[in-house]
Amino acid sequence: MANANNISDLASAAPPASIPRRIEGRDKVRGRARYAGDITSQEMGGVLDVAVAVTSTQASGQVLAIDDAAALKMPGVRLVVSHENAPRLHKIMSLTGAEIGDLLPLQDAKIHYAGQCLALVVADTLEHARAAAAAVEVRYSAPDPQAAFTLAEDGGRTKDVAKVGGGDPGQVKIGEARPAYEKADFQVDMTFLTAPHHHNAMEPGAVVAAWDEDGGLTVQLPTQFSYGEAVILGEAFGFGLKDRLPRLISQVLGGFDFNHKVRVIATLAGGSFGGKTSNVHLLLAPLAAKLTGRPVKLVLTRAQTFSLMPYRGETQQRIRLGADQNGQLQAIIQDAVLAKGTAGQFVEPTSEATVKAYSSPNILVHQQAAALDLNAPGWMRGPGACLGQFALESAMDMLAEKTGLDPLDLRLRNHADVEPDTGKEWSSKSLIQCYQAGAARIGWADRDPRVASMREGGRLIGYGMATAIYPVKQMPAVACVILGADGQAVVQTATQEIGQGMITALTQIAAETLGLELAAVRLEWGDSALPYGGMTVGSMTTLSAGAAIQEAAQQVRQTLLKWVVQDPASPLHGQPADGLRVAQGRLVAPNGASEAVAAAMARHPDGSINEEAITGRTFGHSPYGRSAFGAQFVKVSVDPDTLHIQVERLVGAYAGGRVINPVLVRSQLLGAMVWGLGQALLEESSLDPRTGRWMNTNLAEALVPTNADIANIEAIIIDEDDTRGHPLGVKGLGEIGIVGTSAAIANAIYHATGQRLTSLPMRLDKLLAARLNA
Amino acid sequence: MDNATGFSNAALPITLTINGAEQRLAVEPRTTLLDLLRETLHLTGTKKGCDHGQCGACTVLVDGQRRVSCLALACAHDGASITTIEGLGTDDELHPVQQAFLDYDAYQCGYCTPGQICSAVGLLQEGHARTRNEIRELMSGNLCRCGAYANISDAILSVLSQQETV
Ligand code: FES
Ligand code: FES
Repeated sequence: MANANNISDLASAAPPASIPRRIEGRDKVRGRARYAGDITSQEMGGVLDVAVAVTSTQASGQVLAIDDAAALKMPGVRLVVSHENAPRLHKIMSLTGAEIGDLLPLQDAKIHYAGQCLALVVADTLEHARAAAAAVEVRYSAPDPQAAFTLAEDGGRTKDVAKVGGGDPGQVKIGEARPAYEKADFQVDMTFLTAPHHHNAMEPGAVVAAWDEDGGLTVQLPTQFSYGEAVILGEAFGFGLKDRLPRLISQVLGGFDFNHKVRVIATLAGGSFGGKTSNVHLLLAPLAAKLTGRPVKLVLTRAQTFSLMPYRGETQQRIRLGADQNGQLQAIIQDAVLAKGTAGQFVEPTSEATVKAYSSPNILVHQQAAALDLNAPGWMRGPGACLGQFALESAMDMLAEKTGLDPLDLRLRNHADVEPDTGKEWSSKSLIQCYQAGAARIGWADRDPRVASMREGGRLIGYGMATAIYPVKQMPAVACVILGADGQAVVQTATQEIGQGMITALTQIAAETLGLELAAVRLEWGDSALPYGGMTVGSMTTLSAGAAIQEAAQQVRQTLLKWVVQDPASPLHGQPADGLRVAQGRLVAPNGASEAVAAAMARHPDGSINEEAITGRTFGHSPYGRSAFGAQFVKVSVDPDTLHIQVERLVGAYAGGRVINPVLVRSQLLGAMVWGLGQALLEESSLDPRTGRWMNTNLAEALVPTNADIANIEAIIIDEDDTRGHPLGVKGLGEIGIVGTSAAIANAIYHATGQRLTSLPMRLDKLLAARLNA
Repeated sequence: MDNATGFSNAALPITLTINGAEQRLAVEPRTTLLDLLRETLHLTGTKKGCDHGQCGACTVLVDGQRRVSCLALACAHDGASITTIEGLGTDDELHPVQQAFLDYDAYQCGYCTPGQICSAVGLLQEGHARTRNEIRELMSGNLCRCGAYANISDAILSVLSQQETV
């Protein structure tokens, strides 16, 4: 043991025990938490075959033949599925714009991108399936010489887009930005590039599919939208209307349900970050299982996740800022060109933050997309906003230098007192407090603001800052709350746990509203057989599902109070119902009379109180502008000889309305800032521009931050009351930590070195090139 | 015989002590310790993140030392004693590192967590880490895409200082 050590650092104190820890935490630290890839044959009635995917080595052309003769003779092999024998699927609509909305797997011989799934080998064990997959031979036609993989070689593919992201306008025109820019006293004009990079959740894509004797289908997988996946399966495999979009719509509109034959069980996700919804493997495992008539498990290899799962696509943005003598913005112009797939509808909403960040009378956004011969990019943590803010906040730093203003002062002068693109008042906005808290924490005022002026221990030191902003949205959700005869409550809503802490936060909301101990409430989640719980996207889960749970729980409480005061057997009989409190599982009257909820419920004639609520049908439409805000402050050091860049300190201050659980929210904020650091300095999925193949399809070459990359990182949470935005008061803080971080780091590198890096990731080769070109 | 490689895949007899229980097993030469644990023994607490020794999700203790089990062939470890996450602590008494991970919220999705915890237990036994920076460096073989690193370092540091004051 290490008792002889002298421990020279102290651990920070653990957060107070009064803040609930993750309800599934014990399972996670004991290795009992179950992920889709962990499902064993025992749990599937003794049978679980294993599938391994065979993928294309070519980005275009046709499959001429799939020679599976050798593979089929190998031990344990049950089947090779390819376009030659796969069941025909019906066209589907993807609500999230996923690739499978345009391209169903194993349907024909055409190749759309390198790494496309061409066949599945199903065998009794993983070893057998893997060996046989290696023995499948594919013959290809010649690849298409016109194929294009990067924005630089778009070959006339670039087109204006009407919509980006989840429906934001692709083009925005407020005022007359071009003439205002031309006339402005100060101008900044800079183009920013960002490399593609992948989610690389530690858990690769995984799915288990089983058909039952009555033709029903059950699929278990990590996903951010179990109902959406069920609808896709219902459509693709030709189920009736009850298993298609009408089921989802009827739940949202009426809260009633049909008998359905497709069931999707969202398992715990081992990280998702936007990447685990409507992936192609959702369809692959059921395809194979349909042919074999036996349950099938498919787990992608890490390399396969690069082409069979989405990623953040390449982007180019030109930003022009015009400001008057006082540094007041007169024009913000964003011209973006964004990579998309030839299949899939997703286009990065790079404008999402640009149109809301600063007060400017003139804003012009022009977004274009180019369809490339790659697998489709998709949603990834902080979609659009983190790219737009990298460009805008870098440009703001350049403007600060031109105007001679402190970067923080420039931002204060341009503070948007109302929502810039709508003119609406904000429901709440505590950005100035975020600036103040972050600046104080990092010692912003104490730095030497002159460029390349600071040194410590021979290294160049720089400070940078950026504004973070992330819109608040609410999605429809249905929740059912059942208070049982034992005084324990069950809460049901089919939302998803992807590591953000949903299980704990939603259980807390229910327990608090019902007045029960946390341990007296159990959340049932993730299963499409439960009431509709919406998508787990856009930092919306706590608000969306939480609102429905709160409303249903309030109704249960009302019903309980009304009944108990009328029950002659209760010590609370005859009390005014609205005078009662419920806390820690006890009903308490103003005169001190009280009764345990469990004791009261034991007498309840129905044995339980059930209530259901549907919220968010207007998608959180509000007379106010709603957004979470924050600011990052960064200290970097750069070695003057090797140009090694190290983030020494990363401080973020955030205000996102009510925080249900500060321990979990802090973890999410820190995690998202780690993402921002990775995006800034490390993450790039490299493409071979000749073949369109991802080249660094492993975790040693596709870098993500390691523990050693993360220095002192802090998240400050600013108290904020947003009850006028929504009675629950929650805004959502899952993604804002990545928005702005890369710009703050870029600005700090500039302060340290005088080199402006405009291309992500900012690796030292780019710093060297900037220095040589200076 | 494997048609593709021409090598024999006939199972070999080995004995492993897994979480304290001795097991006689027949393993194919190509089977990794990770696949043996997960696929055959259904000890699925140990995770697969890359299968290439690049992520640490599969970290277990082999004769007390932390190892990435995806790069260990099971048949090459005849006689070894393996501790997996399932073998650390009980519900009544978590291992101090497990308890610290709970207290410090040193995880989010939990997928890297069994590997992080086994790695941390191995690290503490090695006795090399004395500072936060050393912990960061020596835990860098265990990736956490949720970015729980600050809390992971704190959790390990807290156990290290408890040991110090014992
Ligand atoms: S699975 Fe073994 S190191 Fe990644
Ligand atoms: S907790 Fe999710 S990868 Fe570490």
